[in-house]
Amino acid sequence: MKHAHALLLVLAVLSLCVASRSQGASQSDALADARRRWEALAPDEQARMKTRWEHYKSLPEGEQRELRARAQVVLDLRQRAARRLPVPLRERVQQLPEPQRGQIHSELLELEMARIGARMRAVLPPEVVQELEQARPDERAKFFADYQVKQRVRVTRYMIERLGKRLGLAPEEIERLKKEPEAQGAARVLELRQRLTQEEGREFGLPPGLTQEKWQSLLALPPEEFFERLADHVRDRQLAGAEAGIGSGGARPAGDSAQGLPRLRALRRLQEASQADPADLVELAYESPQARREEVAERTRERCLRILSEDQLISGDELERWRSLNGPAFAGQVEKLIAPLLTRWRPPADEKR
Amino acid sequence: MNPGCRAFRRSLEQLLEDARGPQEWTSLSWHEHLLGCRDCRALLEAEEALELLLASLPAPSLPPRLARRVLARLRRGEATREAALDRLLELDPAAPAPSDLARVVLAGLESERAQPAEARLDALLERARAVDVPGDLPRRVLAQLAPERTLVRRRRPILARRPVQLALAAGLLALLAAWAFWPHRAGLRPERELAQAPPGVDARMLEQLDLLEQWDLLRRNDLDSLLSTLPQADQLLFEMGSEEGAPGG
Repeated sequence: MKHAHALLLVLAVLSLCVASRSQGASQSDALADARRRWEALAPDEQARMKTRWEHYKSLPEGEQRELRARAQVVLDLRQRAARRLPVPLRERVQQLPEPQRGQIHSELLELEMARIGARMRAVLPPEVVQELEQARPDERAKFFADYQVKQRVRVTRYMIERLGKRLGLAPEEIERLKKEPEAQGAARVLELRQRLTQEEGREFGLPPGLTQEKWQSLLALPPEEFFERLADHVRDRQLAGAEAGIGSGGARPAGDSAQGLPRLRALRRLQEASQADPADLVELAYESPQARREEVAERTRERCLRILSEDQLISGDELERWRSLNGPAFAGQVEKLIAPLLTRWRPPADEKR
Repeated sequence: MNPGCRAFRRSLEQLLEDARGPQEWTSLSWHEHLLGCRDCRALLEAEEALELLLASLPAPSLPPRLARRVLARLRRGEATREAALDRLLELDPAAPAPSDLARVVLAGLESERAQPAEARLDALLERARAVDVPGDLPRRVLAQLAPERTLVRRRRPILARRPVQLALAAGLLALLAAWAFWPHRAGLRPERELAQAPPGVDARMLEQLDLLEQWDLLRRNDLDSLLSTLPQADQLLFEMGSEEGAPGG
């Protein structure tokens, strides 16, 4: 017993040492990586970084903190964008030499930001979107930050109430959760939603297209990754022409029964085609950014025209007219056509579980 | 090399250094080890010493107590067995002895008696086999053992001691703790990081290089940039709220 205690003590000290050291090592690795990137920069780029650094240092502490938080989000987005690439494409990006690889990563990030931006616009009330768009650029960030804080509190309380009831939590437990610190609110809602999704899976069967094994592996993920993967699964099924059949929300536009399922599927294909294809970016990695942007836009437009024609989403005359439109005008027309997909379908109050 | 080999070789080495005669080798209880250890046999075979060693081994003998016990048991058995044997012999017819047996035995005894006392003594002494040891054998064997000598002597006695082991364990833990916690002590880490920055470059700037590289993106105020840089948990929260009909503000 004495030896067991001694052994446990030694193991505890060792794990503490290793944990502490690995944290220090990762910080040190990050710095070493930054140094390597710094040394790969051209002198004028280094000078630009120094100017930005001086600017950053002159900002108030609160603004610096906000920038650091946003930088972390952007870093996560960059990684998510890379994760979304099919494996062969990801490997091709990794094999690019440094200037091209960095540039392609930045452009993939831009694509990801545009995709999320469009998704979030559909989530916000139209009047809020309009107000944000009309705000002066220098005030927009502050206006949005205020809205974000208020909305987070409102939605958190609302969701805890609803999810708590559906999960059968005691009223006092629901009240306790609603009083938790604001910073924990979103995480708590995601956790409850994941639990409810799990119970729905047990009650109504697994989401279509998932095996029990795959479902269990998804449930083992942290909530944020769980919902991201589930959304990807839904999207893949939709693009493959199958109904996702998951959850009460989703992208089911009002009146889609009138439009018919084939049209809905065609619109989804068009929506997917209207976004730049990462494979095009990688293929054109050695072109200048401007030439690449133009070529990618042209290929995207060609894909859209092909789907418009094949799926007869517009008449022949209209198709000819669309062919003559320039880039932004063409993109505007496509956006209008797929707008019903972005309209949220909300079940009537008595249908909500 | 196992502990048995080490003990054997240390004894051998000690014996050779003391320059005792080969007859002393028989006092070591190493024949059992040699029987089971190919490496040690090979070591001695290389210098033809194995044959000499084996030749000098003492005849097997029983410990005195064991010998007494065996004799006692034999005697106990004899009493009953002899009586039974006598009874059997009585039943047998007398064995016919060869007619010249007595003469042959007597002649043999006579010839032995005729030998002088020195000759009989010599014959007895010849039974203890003489060992002819080459003069430089100890030196050659020692030379073979030389690489092991320092190794064995330096390590084993020190590491085998418990206080030394405890001291080593404590030292190891102290080193680990220092390795783990030293970089986090106030005032030391920045210098270490500064040491990694190229000359003329602020290490704190390198720490924020990600941010500076994305400066334009982070300073953008268009709506898509603002919306897409919401923390992912907030994005999901707002989406769920929208699906569930949460108030949009």
